[in-house]
Amino acid sequence: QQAILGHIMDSEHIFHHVSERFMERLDELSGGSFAVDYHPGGDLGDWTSITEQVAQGAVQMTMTYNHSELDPRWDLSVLGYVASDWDAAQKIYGPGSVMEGVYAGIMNDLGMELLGIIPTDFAGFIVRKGKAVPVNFPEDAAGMKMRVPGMPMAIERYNALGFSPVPMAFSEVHTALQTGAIDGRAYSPPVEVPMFSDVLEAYVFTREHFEHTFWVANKAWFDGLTDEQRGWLTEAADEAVSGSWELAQSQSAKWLAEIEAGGVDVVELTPEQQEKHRALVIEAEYPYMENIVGAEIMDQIRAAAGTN
Amino acid sequence: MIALFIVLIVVVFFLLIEVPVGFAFGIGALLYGYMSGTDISFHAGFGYTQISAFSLLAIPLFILSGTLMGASGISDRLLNFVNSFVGRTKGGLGAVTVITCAIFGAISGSASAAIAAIGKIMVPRMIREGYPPGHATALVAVSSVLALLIPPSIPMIVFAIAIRESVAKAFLSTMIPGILLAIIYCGLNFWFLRNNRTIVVQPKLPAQETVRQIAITGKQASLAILMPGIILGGIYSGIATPTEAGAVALVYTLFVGILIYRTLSWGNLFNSTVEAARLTGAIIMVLFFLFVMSRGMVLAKVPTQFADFLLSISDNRIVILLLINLLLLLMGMIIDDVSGSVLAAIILLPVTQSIGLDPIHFAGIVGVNLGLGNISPPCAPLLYMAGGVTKQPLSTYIGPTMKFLMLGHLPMVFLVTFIPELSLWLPSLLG
Amino acid sequence: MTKDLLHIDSLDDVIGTSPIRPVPEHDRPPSPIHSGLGPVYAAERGIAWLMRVIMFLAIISLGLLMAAQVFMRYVISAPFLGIEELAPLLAVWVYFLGMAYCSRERDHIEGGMMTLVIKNPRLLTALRLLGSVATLITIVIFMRFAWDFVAFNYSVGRRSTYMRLPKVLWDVSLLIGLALMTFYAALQCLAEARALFITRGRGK
Ligand code: NA
Ligand code: NA
Repeated sequence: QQAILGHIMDSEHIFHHVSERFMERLDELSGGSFAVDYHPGGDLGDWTSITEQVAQGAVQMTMTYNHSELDPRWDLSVLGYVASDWDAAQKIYGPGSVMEGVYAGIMNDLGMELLGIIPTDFAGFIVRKGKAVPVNFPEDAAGMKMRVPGMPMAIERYNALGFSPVPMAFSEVHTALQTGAIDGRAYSPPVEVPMFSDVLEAYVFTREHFEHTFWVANKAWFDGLTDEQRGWLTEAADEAVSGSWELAQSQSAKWLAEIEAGGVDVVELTPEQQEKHRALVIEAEYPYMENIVGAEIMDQIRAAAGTN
Repeated sequence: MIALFIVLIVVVFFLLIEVPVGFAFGIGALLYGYMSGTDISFHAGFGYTQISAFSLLAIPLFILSGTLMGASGISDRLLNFVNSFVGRTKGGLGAVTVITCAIFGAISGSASAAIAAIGKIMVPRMIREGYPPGHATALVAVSSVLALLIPPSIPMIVFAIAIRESVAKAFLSTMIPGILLAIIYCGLNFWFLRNNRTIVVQPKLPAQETVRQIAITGKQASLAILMPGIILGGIYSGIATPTEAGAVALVYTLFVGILIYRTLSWGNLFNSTVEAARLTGAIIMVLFFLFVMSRGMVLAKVPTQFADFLLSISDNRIVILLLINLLLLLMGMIIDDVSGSVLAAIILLPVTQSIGLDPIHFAGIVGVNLGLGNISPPCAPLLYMAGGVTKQPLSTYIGPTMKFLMLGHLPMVFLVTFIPELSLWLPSLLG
Repeated sequence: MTKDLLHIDSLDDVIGTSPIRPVPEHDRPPSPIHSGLGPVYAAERGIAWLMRVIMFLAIISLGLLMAAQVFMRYVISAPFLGIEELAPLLAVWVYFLGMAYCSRERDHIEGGMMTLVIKNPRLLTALRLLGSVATLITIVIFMRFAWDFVAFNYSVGRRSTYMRLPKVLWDVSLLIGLALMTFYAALQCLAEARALFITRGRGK
């Protein structure tokens, strides 16, 4: 058996560590009979394209983000202020969680099997050089052009926070920060900050949502494996995923240190600033999300997040 | 690797029998998928996804603004302006051609637009004044490449996307080489013509009259001269991204052509616009099938194998750089610049990474090499286009072209390869 | 064989060294290569006109839209949020209709220098026909996979992220572009095959 596993990240990213662990274990379990053709670094296309390739069976496995064009319910994964810390995040999104079941259902509708949820980190936003760093919302954010991913919910959030949200292709972000066409980039976990270090003033680590990602396989391919092969695959994947929580947390600290070493200020909000920020985000996003996924799922999330 | 070699031969065969470059790669991609046993079912979807990228939008926008600049007479005004400086010296018209191509390059992303806009006017004028027709045509062909080296540049947009680097930085990587090359071509032009006796030089004007001419033509060309400032200034001051700058240039051209110069009639506008859309289609089609072909190669891990192979020949940086140049030169001979950019990015990027080459320096090397490839036979679109526009047979201008390339462009390739500052200094100012 | 070839040299009016186009040029008398297909060519002229109009509207709107975006973001600080979706929508239509139009005019980027080496029109035509047939097969295969791709997007009800427009509006450009290219490649093969046939008939 041979399968392609592709993702867009380099050897520093948690995707790579999880992949390596998975491949090693799979090799052991199958005695080398289950080979993985590994394509990191995005050589098979950007993450949306690789996800589509998995859904359609041209590639067997990938690690991916919320591809809301395929299913808007997927935006649950960037809903703000669901988890307040790492322990809460693991309870809400980790192995055996309710959310894991919700996501598995979404993936199934798209012809994919969820192999596991891989945590990356909490997210904040970056601010370009020479720009005052906003910490009080919405007042400080007035007139700031903030690049957001082109999702309605992201635009709602950053509008509510007082920014001018600018949707822009990722490939243009670095130049646009450099020249000042935009003033910052939203939805940035620490791992995605150092690549912009040379043009940044600060990283505001708001922890506004917990970014987690999806390890998926093509369903038809997965179902077509023998029971034994499927057993090896899920065992290796489960082990790699359960190890990923501790790993992600330790990597977070490492990336924050690297950001500061690169001359970029890491700014944390005071409890009062944070509370104002949180209220704005929840007020803007939760009704929007409820429209898409329904009250039942949202009630579960509110219960978990303590935002009843 | 053997499968790839066979596929390469098939692709070259189809290229030689005049199958369009894109389709030749399409044929190659299917054959390669079949031979290597890799997936081809997503090829069409992949090519489609890749060309729908937002950053590729700069291509239609720069092509359209370039086409409309030609149609609205902006290039004529530029020519007259440059002519008022050096037109009345022996070989002066040649220098005017080179310099105007360079200035035109700063507002247009494509070299063929430069040939169409400048070649059509300058070559007949040069021949009328006694220039050898071969020299005149060759000069237009080699100078048109300046439009690719001086930003904006379509191959550089494509290349930057393929290696996931900043388009703005990639633009700047070939700018100094482009300006140097313009100076060298001016010098070579005068030198090649030094013993010529057929050229009739218009009598020199008194200094006062020259100044008056410069003022008059300068005023007429002022809206055109402003244009590079609008485009490059727009990009590097943060008003617009490179993609948007193409749109700003377009609106400016429409404004000047329709309302100020009043040279863009409705029919003129419609036809030029359709022509630009067609040219866009021609370029994007090549990209579509190249992205497909590259996916096939990536699935079979060709780039990494190729890198290992090159590094097994030698791990000496200079040797590797020379090998890269040799490959780019060969690539440039058989295909066009846009295809070359993608292929170079995909096949050579792993090698350049392992010898620690700065990606923007790599962009400079690729840009200068592929510029050369565009005018080096057998696949030399710019060379044939120059002959087509000026109605000269290849035999009259192939000789002079080779002299310009050997003494001008080829040495520049080596300078850019071994003096990284030529490509890195300007981008470094961006911070 | 050589004799045959020598005879053919006198048939420059039917088949020369320059490539044959898939459809007759509008302002020229129809050559025997294109005879008998009048209704097809008449319909084709209508299609070509429509392609020109769509390309014109799409590429001009693209330019104006992007320029408006610069103005809105930079001058009034309120960017148009759907642009990341609308601009590529206009662009893919320009791309695929532009490609098909190049097939119509035989105006694709090509690298051959065959005419510098081979002077025999029949051999040239035969080689070009070989290339055209390979092209036709290739496009048809791509068309088949493109169909699967578009059908998948349709089956999951894929919509653009911000404006929630059906992705079919984008995707159909790919299918129509490939369909038109198939159409022109088929006409190209036909014209070249007939040219080859006609010269053989007259050469004897
Ligand atoms: Na240029
Ligand atoms: Na060439």
